[in-house]
This record gives sequence, C-alpha cells and structure tokens, in this order.
Amino acid sequence: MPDRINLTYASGLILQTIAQGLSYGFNIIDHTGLPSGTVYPALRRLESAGLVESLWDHKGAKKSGGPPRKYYRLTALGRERLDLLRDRYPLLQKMTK
Amino acid sequence: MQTELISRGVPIEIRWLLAAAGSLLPPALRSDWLREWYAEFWHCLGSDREMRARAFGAFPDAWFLLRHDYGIVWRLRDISDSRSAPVVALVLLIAAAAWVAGGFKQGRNLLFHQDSAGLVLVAQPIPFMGGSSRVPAAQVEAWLQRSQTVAQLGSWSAEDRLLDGRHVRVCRADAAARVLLAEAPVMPQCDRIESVEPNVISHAGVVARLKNGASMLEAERELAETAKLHKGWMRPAIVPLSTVRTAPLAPVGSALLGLLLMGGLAIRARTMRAWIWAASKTVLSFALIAGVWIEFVARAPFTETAGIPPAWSALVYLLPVLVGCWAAFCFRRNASHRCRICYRPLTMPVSVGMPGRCLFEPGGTEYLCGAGHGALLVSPFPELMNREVWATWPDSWA
Repeated sequence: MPDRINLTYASGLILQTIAQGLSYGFNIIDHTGLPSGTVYPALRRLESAGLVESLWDHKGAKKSGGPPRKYYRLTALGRERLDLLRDRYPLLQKMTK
Repeated sequence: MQTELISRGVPIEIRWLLAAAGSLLPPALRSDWLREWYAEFWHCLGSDREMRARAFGAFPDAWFLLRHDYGIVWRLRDISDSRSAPVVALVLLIAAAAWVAGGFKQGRNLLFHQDSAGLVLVAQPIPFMGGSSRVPAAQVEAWLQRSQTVAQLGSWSAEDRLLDGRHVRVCRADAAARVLLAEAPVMPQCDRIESVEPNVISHAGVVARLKNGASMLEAERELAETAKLHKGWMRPAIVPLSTVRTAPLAPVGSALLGLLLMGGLAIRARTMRAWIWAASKTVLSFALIAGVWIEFVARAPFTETAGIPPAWSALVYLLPVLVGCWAAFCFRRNASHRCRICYRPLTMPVSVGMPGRCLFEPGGTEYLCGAGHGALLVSPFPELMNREVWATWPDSWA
C-alpha cells in the first residue's frame, strides 16, 4: 500500500457516494456525474489504498437473473478518511443527496 | 459465469471497445476486469450514446490497472521518496545527456570538421551592419599571381532560376571551386551544380586553400597590397569557412545559457529532491533545444560573401532564442504551480479569504498538493512582493 494517498475532491465525492449505499460502479457514475474514466481508476486507487473493498454481488445476480456485479464498500480506514475529507471539503455532503 | 456468456447481452460496439481496452491488461487481470465491465453494461439501462461514452472510460481504467499491476508508478515514487533520489536523478541525467549527445554526433562532426581548416572565402566587408560583398575578379587574379600563401583558388556563384515551372538554386563553379567546396563540411545549398571553365564567372564568390604554414594575417596582407594596384579596389577580408559556420555559436549559445539560468532561478523547491527533479527537466529541455539548434547551424549554407542566407539566419539566430524564451517562460509559470516539497503539480484551485484584504484573511486562490504536502496561496495582485505564499502542512495530511 502506498504511504501517501492523493485524496482529491473527486475521490471524496466517490467515498461519500459509497458511504450513502450506492455501491456499483455505474451507480456511482450516475450519482456523481463523473465520467467512467474518472470513477473506475479512482475506485482502483481507493481499493489499493485500503479505503474501499470490492465484492461480487451473487445474491443480487440470482434475483435479477443477470451476471453478478462488483460492488464497493468502505473499510474502517475509508470511513476515517471520509470524516477528514468532510472537514476539509464542507460542501461534500451537500454535493450528494 | 463465463465472460462470453455475459457479453452476449452487450451491444457489439461496446464489446469491441471493452475487448480493445482489455487487451492492454495481462491475462491474469483481464478476466475479472471484463466480468465487472460486462456485468455493469448488462444491467445498464442508458441510451446507446451514453453506454458508448461509458465504454470509453474502460481505457483509462485498464491503463491505470496496467501501471498499478506492474508497479511502475509506485516503484518510481518509492525511488523519488528515498535518499537515493539525487543519485538516481544524476544517473538519469547523465544517461539522457549521453543519449542526446550521441544523437547529435553527426551535427557536431559537421560543425567542427577538421578538413575545413585552411579553406577561406574572400569577401569585401561593408562598414554597415556587418555586411560584405564580392571582390572584383581582377583583384583576385592579381592576388593569385603575386601570392606566396595561396595553394589553390576557385570561383563560384549561386543564382535562383525557374526550371520546369519551379524555382531552383543553381550553383556554377569551376573545377577548383568544386574540389574545395566538396571538402567543406557542407556544400552551399544548391539544387543543381553546373561546371564552368575557370575565370568564366566574372563576378563570383572566391574560395581558396592556403598553403601549409601560411597564416591568415600574411594572406590578408597580400590581399591588402593588391588594393594599391587599381583605383577603386578595396582591402578584402579573408574569412575561414569554419568561422562562417561557428559564427552563431557564441551569441546564441550565451543567450540560451542565460535563459537556462533564468529557468533554473524560477525553480521554487524547498527540498533537494524536488530541486534536482526540476533542474534535470530544465537542463534536459535546454539541451534538446541546443542540440536541434546545432543541427541547423551545422547544415546552414553559406553565401559567396562569407555569410549565412537571411532565411537561415532567422533559423540559427532568432528561432533558438525565441524557443528558449518560451521555454524559460513555461518553466517560470510551471514552477510556480508545483509543490515545493515533492514538485508534483498543484491541483484543486479554490477561492479563499476576503477579496481586497492584504493582512487578515487575504483574498486569493489556494492550490493544494495532491500528496498533502501543503498549499499555495496566490494573491490576485501581481505587484505584491509576497504574491505567492506557500504553507507546508504537517505530516498528518501526507
């Protein structure tokens, strides 16, 4: 894991969105309005930094009859960093509904 | 579920885009990566246009994974954060300089060609803006008859002609001139060379080879003596071919060196590591400019009157200085918006403070270091001494 994590405003927005329970990649794109070319690399980076973790949603796949999607959720470290980011960017909570 | 099965529900153009992006990845990563993207598209209800736009995002995603998987970025950052950074930077700098120097070997050889020693052009200096004109053919003839210093002498001229509907540069040279000019580092720029009998070119440039041991001063003294033989003849000058070639080196080289120093002085770094990275970039950029410029200098043709044609003069005198000024300006502007600790570009500009205030909560734009090293406050008033105020943050942000 890298020593330093570049937590940009976009990263904060993505963390905030995941914290609100929107956990699939395309859901995050819909909710934040960020392009997929920004969201996915940011998710990889956050995952490699240990702020989020990804899992395959097999239950949801059985319900929908489609292939399992990968969903993301915050880790304890991610929640800690998100609190710091909320202090740094007060508008972060207002940006997502 | 197999990737092939999932992909069936996805439009063909999306599949192509994902396959192309996935081809960037190593096979070990590709399967899971494709499963994730195909599954998202399988469940996606957006328009075709929207889906295509999202599929293009697979390329930066794959590129990020590729870099991350191979660890190139983190390894480089680890190196740059370590104490060995100056050594690594120095090695990279030397390697790059050696590479650049090797690439420009041909130009250097042309420029400092030893065979041009002893070859001179005869021209009449004009006491106005460093100009020169041709020497009367009769005066040259008189010099040749009396000279103890000239071993060989030839005459040549160049003119523009319209041949087959296009403009061509035609050089007319006698046999001696062709031999002598062929020994020069580069022949004068000619599209076509015509042979003429000696003394046919009445009003031409004169190229000569001095005898071994003969000095320029002796040859010039002899030429000066010929000026007394006929009314109207002047005291011509002798210009070595190597001097014509190397004339731009001193003034333009000094200007580039000065601009390099200005670029270096613009670096705002508070750590040795950041300073070395910034200085390496500046030095390498100017080395590249200088290398390309030397290539042009080496290939610049010369005129009959021991000069460089005006178009080439702009190329070898004016253009490198302009490019150097532009590079120094870019370094100055770029350096001010980089982190003083790690030299990464500063990001996320936000408006802070109260506009118009200079002391308490001064207004301006704040830029942040992405790695959390600090923030830069830029005042909107360029006349202020402390227009840019850097604040280093404690390590907890990094």
